[in-house]
Amino acid sequence: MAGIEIAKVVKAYGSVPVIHGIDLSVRDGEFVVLVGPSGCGKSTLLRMIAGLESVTGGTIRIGDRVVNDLPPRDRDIAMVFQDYALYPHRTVAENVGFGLRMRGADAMTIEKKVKEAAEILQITHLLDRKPGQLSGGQRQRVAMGRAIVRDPKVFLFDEPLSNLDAQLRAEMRVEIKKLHQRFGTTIIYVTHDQVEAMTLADRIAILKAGHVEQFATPDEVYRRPRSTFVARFIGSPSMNIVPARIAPDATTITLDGDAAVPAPASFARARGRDVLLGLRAEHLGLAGPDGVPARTVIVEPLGSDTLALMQIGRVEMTGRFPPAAPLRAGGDVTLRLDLEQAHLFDPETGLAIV
Amino acid sequence: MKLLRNRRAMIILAGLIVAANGFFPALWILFTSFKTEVELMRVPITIIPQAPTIENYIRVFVDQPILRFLFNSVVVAVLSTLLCVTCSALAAYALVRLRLPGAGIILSVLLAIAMFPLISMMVPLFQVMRDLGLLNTWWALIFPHAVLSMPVCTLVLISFFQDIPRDLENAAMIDGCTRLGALWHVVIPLTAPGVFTAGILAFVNSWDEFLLALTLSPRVASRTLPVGITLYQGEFSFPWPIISAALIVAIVPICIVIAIFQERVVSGLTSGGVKG
Repeated sequence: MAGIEIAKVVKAYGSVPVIHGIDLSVRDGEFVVLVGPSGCGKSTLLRMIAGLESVTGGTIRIGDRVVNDLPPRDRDIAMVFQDYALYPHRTVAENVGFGLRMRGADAMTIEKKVKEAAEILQITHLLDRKPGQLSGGQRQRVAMGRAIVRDPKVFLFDEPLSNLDAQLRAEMRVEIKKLHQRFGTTIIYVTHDQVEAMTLADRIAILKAGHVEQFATPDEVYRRPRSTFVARFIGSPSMNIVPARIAPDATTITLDGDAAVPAPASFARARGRDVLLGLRAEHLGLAGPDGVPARTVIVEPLGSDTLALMQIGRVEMTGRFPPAAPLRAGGDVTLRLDLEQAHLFDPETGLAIV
Repeated sequence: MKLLRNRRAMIILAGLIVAANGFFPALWILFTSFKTEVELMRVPITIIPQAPTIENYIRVFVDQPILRFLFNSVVVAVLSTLLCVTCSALAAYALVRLRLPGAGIILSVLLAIAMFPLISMMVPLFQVMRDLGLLNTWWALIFPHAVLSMPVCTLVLISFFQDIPRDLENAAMIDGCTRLGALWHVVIPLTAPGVFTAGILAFVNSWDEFLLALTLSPRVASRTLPVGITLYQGEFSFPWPIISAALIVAIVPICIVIAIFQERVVSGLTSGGVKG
């Protein structure tokens, strides 16, 4: 096992930079998720750690070794690919044992370790099959088997679940978490799915256009997003972010030129400023007659709760309500906005005002 | 519907013409090899031998050292094929995967070389082989045969290598392979149909090659089959039945080679390795 130190890492293809000096420090045994939209550089960064992409600048350290110029096979890592990357001409057992064979392990050891890995991943009955005869979920288990059998210092996962259907994805998520608890190996996991990021990670690095927007625990990125980008990316539904203005005396906040709402004391930090107000869906609630008047636009019952898009003056916000809430599209309601929980962002930079 | 039927009929007709064009000469040679010279000259001509004889085949083996020619051909074809496929595979892999600067130019040059007329290289090749002391050895043919087939084999392999997902090699390299190891353990097995196709091309090219064989390896002991067969021709005679029998002896091994390789040329080998 080993930690990973990424210092001022830069990647450019020709004159086009795609990673702009990333610093990340992953602790030994930590589960770190790199998350971000397509093209943010998360997979490139993972491939640089794996040695599949060259490093243009900066250093990557696995354990106490700088690995910039080491070939992938000498980095003591294992990787699970989005497309599984199983060797189609080999059986499951040969796929799982391939890494051991390439490292010169004897047949007895290979057989024993393959069997152990297969038992952990419940693929013992598939060992004689070829990848073409397996379902997507089974193939992904085999790919994980190939990773764990070598007992590497670091596991790298490149969007391993994105080809699976929703139910299987949820199952495999649990499976991956169990594996981490069992082996305690450092894991770097790339995904664009914020649910995977939140459920799996010890810490999440949110990437945007080649730099790290925020690197913190799931709780922290959810409760204290550093920018509107993070706030929108993490959480489902996305955080409501609407333009607003805080009165010079900070007693009220006006939503996009409409009715003023009493502001909590903490808003004094942005008195007299135009801001972006961020409010999560769960911080909207139905109120009595003294609430903020709103109109229900769309109702989305989810069973456990109900999401509803509300029109408040000129802005729209999504709220999360109890399943039995008396909501119907087009109906008028009054809302309670829990502004104590709200976030304020600078409209120019998008950064949180703290 | 009628148009569709006509189209189908035309395709079948075209296929039959192509097949007949290929098969007729071979069948003609086969039938001729069992005829006597008298029957061959008889008018009206017979297609199926009326009094089949194996005398021509006996003469083939008695009159000239055809087994020697056969052995020379096998050695030259096998070694030049191995050399050609190995070099072509490495070249194709480099062109497909290594982001070489000027890969496009290299490809164009390869194509140009493939179209180069062989006759224009004969004199320099002869001089080189003479200076190297390789005239009348297998190597005088193995090297040029390998090089002649290399452009087309490389182009064939490039098209196959391009279809292999990069992540399969990445997985192999993380699993402990070098780049060459990944090529050997993953890419080559998965592109077996392409490798065998290239192999068959190189083998047939070498087996059939006449001009170089005649020029660079003229001594009887080092002759290959195409040149050896010309020895059956007399100064004033042209024994068609015997030459036909010799041709059949030359054709059979290549048919066997193709039959063996064809079984290996199976498609769909890559299905299931990656999503899809």
